[in-house]
Amino acid sequence: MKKKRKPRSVPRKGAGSTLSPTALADLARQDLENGRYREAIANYKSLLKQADTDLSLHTGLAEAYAGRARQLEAKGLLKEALVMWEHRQQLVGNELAFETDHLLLLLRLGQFSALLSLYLRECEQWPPATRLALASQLAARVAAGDEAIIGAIPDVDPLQVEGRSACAALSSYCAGDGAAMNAALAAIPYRSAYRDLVQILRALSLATTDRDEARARLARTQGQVTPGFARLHRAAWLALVPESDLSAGLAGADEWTRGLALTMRGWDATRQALWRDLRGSGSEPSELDRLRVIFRHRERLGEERVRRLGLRLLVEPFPSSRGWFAEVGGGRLSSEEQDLLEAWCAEGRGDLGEVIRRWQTYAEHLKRPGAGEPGSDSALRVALVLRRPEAWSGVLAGVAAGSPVSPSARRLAAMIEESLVYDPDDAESYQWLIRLRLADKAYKDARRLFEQASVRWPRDVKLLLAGMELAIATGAFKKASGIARRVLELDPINGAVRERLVEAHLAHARKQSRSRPDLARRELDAAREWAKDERLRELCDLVAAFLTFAEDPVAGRSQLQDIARRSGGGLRGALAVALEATAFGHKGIPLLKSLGLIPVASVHKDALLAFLASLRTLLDKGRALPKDVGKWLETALKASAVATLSMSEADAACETLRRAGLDGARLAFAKTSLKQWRGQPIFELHRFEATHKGNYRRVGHQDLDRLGVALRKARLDGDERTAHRIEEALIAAEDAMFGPGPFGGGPFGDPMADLDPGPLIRAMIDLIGLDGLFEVIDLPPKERRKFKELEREVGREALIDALIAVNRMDGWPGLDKFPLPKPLSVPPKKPRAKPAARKSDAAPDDGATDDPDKPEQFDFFR
Amino acid sequence: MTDPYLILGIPRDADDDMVQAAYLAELKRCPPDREPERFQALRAAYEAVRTRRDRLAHDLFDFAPPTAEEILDALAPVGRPRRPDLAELQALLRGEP
Repeated sequence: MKKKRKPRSVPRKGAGSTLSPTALADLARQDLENGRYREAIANYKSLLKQADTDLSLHTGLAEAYAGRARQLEAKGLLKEALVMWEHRQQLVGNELAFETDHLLLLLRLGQFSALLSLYLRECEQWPPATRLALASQLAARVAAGDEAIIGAIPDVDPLQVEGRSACAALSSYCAGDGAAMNAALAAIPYRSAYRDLVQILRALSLATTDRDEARARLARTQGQVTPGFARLHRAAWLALVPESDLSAGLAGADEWTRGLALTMRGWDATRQALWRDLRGSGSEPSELDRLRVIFRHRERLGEERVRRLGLRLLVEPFPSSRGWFAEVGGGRLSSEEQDLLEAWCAEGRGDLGEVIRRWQTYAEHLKRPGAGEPGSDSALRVALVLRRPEAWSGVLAGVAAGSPVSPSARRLAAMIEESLVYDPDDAESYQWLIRLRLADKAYKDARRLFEQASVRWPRDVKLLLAGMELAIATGAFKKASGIARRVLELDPINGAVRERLVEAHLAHARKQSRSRPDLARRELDAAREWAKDERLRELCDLVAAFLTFAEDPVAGRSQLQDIARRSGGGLRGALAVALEATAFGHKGIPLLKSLGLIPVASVHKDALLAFLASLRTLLDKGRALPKDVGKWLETALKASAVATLSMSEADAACETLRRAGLDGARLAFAKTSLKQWRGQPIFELHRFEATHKGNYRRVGHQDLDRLGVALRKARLDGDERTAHRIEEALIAAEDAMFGPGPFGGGPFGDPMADLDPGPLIRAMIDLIGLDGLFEVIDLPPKERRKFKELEREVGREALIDALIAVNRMDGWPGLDKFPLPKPLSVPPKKPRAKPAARKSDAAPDDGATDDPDKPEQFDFFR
Repeated sequence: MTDPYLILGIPRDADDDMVQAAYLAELKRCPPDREPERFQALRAAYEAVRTRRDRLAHDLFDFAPPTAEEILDALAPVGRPRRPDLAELQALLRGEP
């Protein structure tokens, strides 16, 4: 198809000959005003033929020439534009001042000689900005040693005089002669055309000694640099910018500026060429492009390094990147490389089961003949790979004594144990294993490991602490004391060791109190030896009082009353005595009553805060407040709510009472706080939760509305944490009132209730892996194997069908409860009870209720 | 720059002593109070390759894809900053190319 061309405008021929001079002058003026400069020029020329002395016609023609010149320059017709400017200057014998655009065009065309002669002749008439811009251009030429310019400038002209100093400064800078450079720069006055050069050279001379100051100097002139020195300023700036800003800066610079900047930064020609290759387009090259570059330079980097760098580039796009090595001439991936890649990818996906499996597979490659020699690099590699899943997941590091041990933790422990064959010099591995054995109550094994490790690392504090825990757990208190002494020799300010040991001795003393009071006293004495702080000493006194009470109730009672009085006599003392009584196995409250101890309200702020701190310490240790003690304290606590607390103290008080399950007292504190801080969302939440105690079936609309207002206020205040907590409470209330669904219900039912669980189970497997799902549903190892066999035999889809069928049975029983491998259609069976361990995971105050009528929450993976 | 060897300016077969010496020399050159960012990078690099065990672990478990800068550093490391030749500077002032 032919391109439609814009018709070229032509001057209207003969218009001038048919019009009167006045009409023609009007027409010329209109042409000028409307940007029709060619027509204006023609008309003015016609008029001047008739009346060449009319000054207004000359002015009009000059304006038309200037307009036409600008038009031509905008179109890139620079020489033609210059002709127009020259015509303008020839009108009426050079009486018109030079336009800045004319001068700039001379610059653009590199006509420095012409510019110089104009500058010398007329610069006084030019605007200051134009004069400075052109002077800086000429100055830059002088500094660059342009002989033609230098020769044409009179000797006395500042451009010439200061130019000599500028040239000298430039040469001295390049030669590294700072003193000479400074001397030369000092000769250049501030208002010189060379002033930017002075600033740039001063900044550059600081580049190696004080980069920040150098950058600050350049920043001061940024945006006001004269055009003659703009490129040098930019090059200097790029030479000094921090590494992180370099790429962005280089992208916008011309090649010459970039080259100079990079040279000053220490980039050689090879690096500059590679940069153009990699980052020339401005953006980060793709993984495949980077792979191509490193394989192109494999000789320089070495084959092994190229392949290792290359493998790292395959991780993110894997598996689509599987064929890239072959594509860039690197051949196929070896099975070892593939397995390493799979292990890296597994870490990216975050599935612990897969991570364990992949690293185990990779370790097999490393267990070459000779790799078993402990101390060698190859043996250390095997050990590191075997320890990697634990280092990555931290499962064993998080195992606590007495907590249940997951199958994954056992697999990790087996790998750690194997790693010690290849590298026995890793104290952390021993710590992990001792911790696991302690949790398993496999004390004999733990002792063996500790003894092995303590020979190698007798001064390792963490290991000694593990040994102390082991000694306490096995009742070897003497040994525990010995270890504690060693720890304190190494770490004299380790208060936790003292505390742990005091508590262990006291626990033993309590145990011995009935059968061997003499031994109990010895344990108490041992505890006193270690009890250095006030709290521990008070605890020892309490134990001593109870021991006395067992032998001589009258003396014991008096001691206990004395202790309660010493500890403030209020709630804190009552709590301490009550807890110790429970620890001694007494029926706490009757005993306390017999002692005449009555909890008294702590209305004084300090006493109340001290009690709350004691309660928090108890809860932080994972211990619960005995129910009867809580009940005994609650009346006094409610009465204490009148104490004057700050808002944060009142919130902390409510929070502690929530953790302790003291909802009545919490409600009292919340109500008092709401009187002081009306509508404060956090206290509205405390009030709501403490009122309903997790049983939301009969929550009134007024309460819900009030909580809704609190939610809006929390959001307005930007208190996201409280807003989130209120939301949770509202959802729980709605679920209880309108019936829950598997993913949260509401007044309109659960939108996901009718969904097929298949895609959800599939999504779970994709997200956390099959092993992860088994972990979540707590499937026994035997049944996991059966599921995996099923997957191997009939595929992933059949496995998912089987899992859905099990789910429909309202529980996750073993495979023996449904026929395999076909999906099941058996009637639902009685749901299985939750394992005890999982029940204990629930916090006592997380909304659980004893209400037998509470609608049951559908647990997808129960 | 993310490669600890390049940050510390040590060869890939450097031993413990060499790593420590390089770290201390760099610390002297860029004290933490003057260049905190550089110090953080130095410290991270030192931690990554301090012992033989660390170096082997870094080699096995660092799978972050190398950036263009890291590849550049591996192929043509940055040399010492230098002053340009007078001719180069003059060419730039003349407006070349």
